[in-house]
Amino acid sequence: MNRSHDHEMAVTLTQGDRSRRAFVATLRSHVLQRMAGELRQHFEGTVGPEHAKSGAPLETPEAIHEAMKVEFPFKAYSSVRTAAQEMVFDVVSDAVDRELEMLNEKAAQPAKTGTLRLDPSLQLPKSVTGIDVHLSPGSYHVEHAEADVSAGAVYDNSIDVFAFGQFGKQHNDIGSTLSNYLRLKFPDFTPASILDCGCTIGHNTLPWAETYPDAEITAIDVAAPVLRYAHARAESMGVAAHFKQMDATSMAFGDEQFDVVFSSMFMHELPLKHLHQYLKEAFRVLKPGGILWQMELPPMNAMPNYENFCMNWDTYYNNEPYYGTFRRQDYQQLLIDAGFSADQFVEATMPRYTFIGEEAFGEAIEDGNTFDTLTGRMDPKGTRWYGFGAWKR
Amino acid sequence: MTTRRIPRKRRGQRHQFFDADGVDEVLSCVLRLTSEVSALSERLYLTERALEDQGMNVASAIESYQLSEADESVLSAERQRLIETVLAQLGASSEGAESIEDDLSVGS
Ligand SMILES: C[S@@+](CC[C@H](N)C(=O)[O-])C[C@H]1O[C@@H](n2cnc3c(N)ncnc32)[C@H](O)[C@@H]1O
Repeated sequence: MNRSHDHEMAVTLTQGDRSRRAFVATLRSHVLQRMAGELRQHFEGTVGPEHAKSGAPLETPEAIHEAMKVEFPFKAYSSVRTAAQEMVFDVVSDAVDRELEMLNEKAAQPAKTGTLRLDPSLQLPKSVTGIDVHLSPGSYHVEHAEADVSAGAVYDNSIDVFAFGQFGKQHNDIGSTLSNYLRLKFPDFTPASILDCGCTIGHNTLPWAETYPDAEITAIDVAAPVLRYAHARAESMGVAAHFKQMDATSMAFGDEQFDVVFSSMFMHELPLKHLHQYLKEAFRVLKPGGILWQMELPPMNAMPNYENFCMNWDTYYNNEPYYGTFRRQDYQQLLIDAGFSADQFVEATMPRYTFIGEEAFGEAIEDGNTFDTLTGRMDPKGTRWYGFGAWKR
Repeated sequence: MTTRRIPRKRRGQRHQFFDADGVDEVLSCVLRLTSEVSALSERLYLTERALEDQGMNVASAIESYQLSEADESVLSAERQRLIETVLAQLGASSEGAESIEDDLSVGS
């Protein structure tokens, strides 16, 4: 029998599931590589030069978008990309639907190493409940059975198809990359307590336990189904982590509890007001001498116009309404507003640790930052993740 | 109808990219259909290989096969599933709250 993952919360895949998943992954990679490449050629070869010739050069991502959205290649790219995005969740839901009871039973087993604490009274933010984020039906929080984990299972299964392998074998590359970056860059810094905000299924939470085996790992999210799944997944992988249902904009932790507060691909899903509240909370729960770090999309001002136009696609068409606003912020200023000092700001681009290994990674992070077409993008040619943060001194 | 508990259609309007109504949806259907065709041909390929391993040439056996009632019901359920999959974006929006994404787009 084919299993979706090598942990206990995996689902059994029929041959049909496997074929459909492979097809959609191939389709996604076709859109994001081949069709996107043709779109760029159309811009660089035709649309860009034509506008320049007519005396109205396209100098902002918004201007590029206005000019491109009437072009056939853009319409075709966008239409196929939307359909492919919808298909990701559709094809993976079949197997999860079939095994939903079994998954929920497994997730209800008593814990061996970590903990799960849900808070049924928690008021979920509208930014989560009001939209089906990145076109996933039911988003992170909708439940289809008692004590349901299916949103988590769908998410876990969707990653392979969505990212066509670019997030690493256990989907943990971002967490693994960041934790190893800190370990190698700051060898004297040995965090005892680590907090992941907006952890979803904990795929980028767990690698911290490997990098810092003595640290206590806590992770929060507002959505119960993904947390139940995260907990069960961690238990089955034998990693001790503490999952709590909590809003990152108003955390139930006391002051100065954590040496590391981090998030991965979390901030761009927050409305600006919540983003400020989250950072203030992060500052509050951080110990003096601790570090806050966000793995995120690179800021608009660091990236070329055409790249920004590409990234804006998600905010216009992929139900990521806050993504554009977030990328327009001055990230350093965001942290200053939250209480960090300007001179404690840090940012970095990092190659993928689980892809290139310790030695090459160690060398690469000494080279400094590169902002190019691979920064923050999923690309088999060699993604570099982007992150920023600050020490609390 | 197959029982699907996890909704397959997101809330809210789909974006229209092509000027003419329905083109985006038709494209979606075509892609879904292609996915099904791909899955099917992979299965057929595997069937032939598996049988070949056992020294069987099935081509002529397939041509003379008589469908039983049970066969009919399996094939009929599969046809229905195929149609639901291919036409998934053409139905009305799934139940639940209306999307409020437009109010949220300013990041309040
Ligand atoms: C894109 S996912 C994060 C993915 C994950 N951290 C990763 O590394 O891939 C965003 C997550 O943030 C959660 N979330 C959204 N708003 C939140 C809030 N105010 N507090 C805590 N979690 C929140 C969502 O439920 C969702 O699971």
